[in-house]
Amino acid sequence: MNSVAETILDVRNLAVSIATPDGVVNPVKGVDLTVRKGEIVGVVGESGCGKSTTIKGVLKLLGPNSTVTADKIELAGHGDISGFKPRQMNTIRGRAVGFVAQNPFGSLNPIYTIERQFYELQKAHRTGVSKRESREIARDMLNGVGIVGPERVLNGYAHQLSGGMAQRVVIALATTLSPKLLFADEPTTGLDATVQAQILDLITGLVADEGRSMLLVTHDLGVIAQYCQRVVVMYGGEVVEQGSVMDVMVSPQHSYTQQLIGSVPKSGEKLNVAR
Amino acid sequence: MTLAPVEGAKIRGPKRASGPWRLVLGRLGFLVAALFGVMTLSFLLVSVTPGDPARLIAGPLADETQVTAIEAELGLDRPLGERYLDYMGGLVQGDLGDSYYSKQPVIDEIASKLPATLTLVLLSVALAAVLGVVVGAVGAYFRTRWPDSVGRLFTGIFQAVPDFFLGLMLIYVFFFVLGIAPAPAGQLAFSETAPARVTGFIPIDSLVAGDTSLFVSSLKHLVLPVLTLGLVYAAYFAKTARTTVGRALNSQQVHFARAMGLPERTVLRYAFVESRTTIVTYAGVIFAALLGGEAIVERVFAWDGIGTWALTGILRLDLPVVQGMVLVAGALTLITYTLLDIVVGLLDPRIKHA
Repeated sequence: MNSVAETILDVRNLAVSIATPDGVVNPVKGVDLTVRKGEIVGVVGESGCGKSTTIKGVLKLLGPNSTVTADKIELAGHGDISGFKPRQMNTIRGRAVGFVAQNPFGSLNPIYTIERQFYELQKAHRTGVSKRESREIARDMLNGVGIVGPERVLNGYAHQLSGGMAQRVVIALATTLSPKLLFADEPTTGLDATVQAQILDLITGLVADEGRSMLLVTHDLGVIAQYCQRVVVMYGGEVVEQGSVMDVMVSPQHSYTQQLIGSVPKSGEKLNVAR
Repeated sequence: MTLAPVEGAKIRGPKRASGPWRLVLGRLGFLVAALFGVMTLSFLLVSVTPGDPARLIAGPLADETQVTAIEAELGLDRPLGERYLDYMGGLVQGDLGDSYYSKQPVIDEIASKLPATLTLVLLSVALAAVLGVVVGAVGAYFRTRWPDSVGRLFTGIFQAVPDFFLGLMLIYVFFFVLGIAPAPAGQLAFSETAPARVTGFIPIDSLVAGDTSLFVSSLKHLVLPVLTLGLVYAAYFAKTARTTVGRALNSQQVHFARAMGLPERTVLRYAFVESRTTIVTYAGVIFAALLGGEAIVERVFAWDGIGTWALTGILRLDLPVVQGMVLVAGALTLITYTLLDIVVGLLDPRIKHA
């Protein structure tokens, strides 16, 4: 008998409301999410469907005008974090949950060297880290994300990196404190197609090698099919369907999922090109 | 894991060792060229401005021969080219000519008036920058909540009030009504004599002379004028800081820093280092604009600075004084901008050291 893998993240009835000058909007309503150990869960949906807001809401990364409510946000080893104060959240962020955002150039501090950014991160989470120790760890992390000659990168700045390199550095930062769970928010948006594949291979490889789990937000069904075990389909701020990638892809239940899958061009399909 | 390794050697960028020096030398070279331009402009601007200084000096009752005599005495009857060569030759030797009225060398007058203005402007910009950046940054952090609303209210008020009017109000309240500020009689009270001249800066010179009561008095006399300019320009700083710090606080690098669990004070520092070059630039621009541009506040506080001096010179068509002022303002502005370029280049690695 196959034992069910340990649950890493269990979100029940997550809702986000944001106060705007024109009234309160609810970009996320009643979302349930489960991530098990070693699993990559894709979150898919159109722009503005609340998929990014959901994962930012779990980490309470939304602005001061927003309110996040949930019946529970159970994180393995930390219990229910739904009522955590900002200071407590800082022990979760980076340490228990790593975060990789889109646009790697924007993610890195433009003024500090890459080395300094590794140091600031470690100083924040471990007391008494020396600069030398931090540099050695940073070098190992950069090696681990496939950067050859990490010394130059460590002494350099974000604007001196290519997009793929910058995202590798971001991934290295996000995994420096060995989080068991990674949130990746469209990590390949804005990168070249070949680099996109490299980055996805890298990040999913890091998840598999270390027995981590990942929530991968994307709007690309191909990415879901290739890398994820389970998928959560969001539409209009709600989860409309979730299940194993195979089930959802082969027999989508919800009409939005059906349309989404139908919109992917298939190889061998006759193109309807006007002549 | 199949993954093509990526060369770390792709990094391009300035050579760190020579970068800052190249920046400094390049800027200084530009400074020399620009100063020459300012010298020529200061001559031309004044030589082609309308108005006849000789007639003004002679007064309305003078006849033609008196006017011609004054013209000859001032050298105004000579051709423009000759006067230009004379002027530039003098400048190189530090000779800016003599004032038509006081007959004193302009360079000496500048040396005696400039420190008063520099003290006032430097302290005012420092106060404005600190106060304004704090108010603006707090406003940006608490955007649309009460600290922001209070900050914006005061920013609006001080931006709307003309500086000389604020100066008069402060004098009325703190000198006339409350009696806690000294009379607006300049850098020291009427009864006090300036300390022996060492640097020309009265607070420093009184310390050098070992006269603490004079030092305290000079500081007391600085409070109201510095407050006047400081509050008005703090409003401008606050507006700029609110926008730039606000943008930085909303930037992705700050969101990422927060997502990495960095403590809030580190997150704020990340936002601040991103916005500091804009604020430093703004401080430089305001400093340059205030040199001489605060003449009316000098007038209100009987501050014997270069602004008042230049204003008087302009009204009397005292050409060497006006030329001297154009030159000093131009040179100080250029020096400020040169320093600004260097400082900003050192603060921000994205700026190419070329």
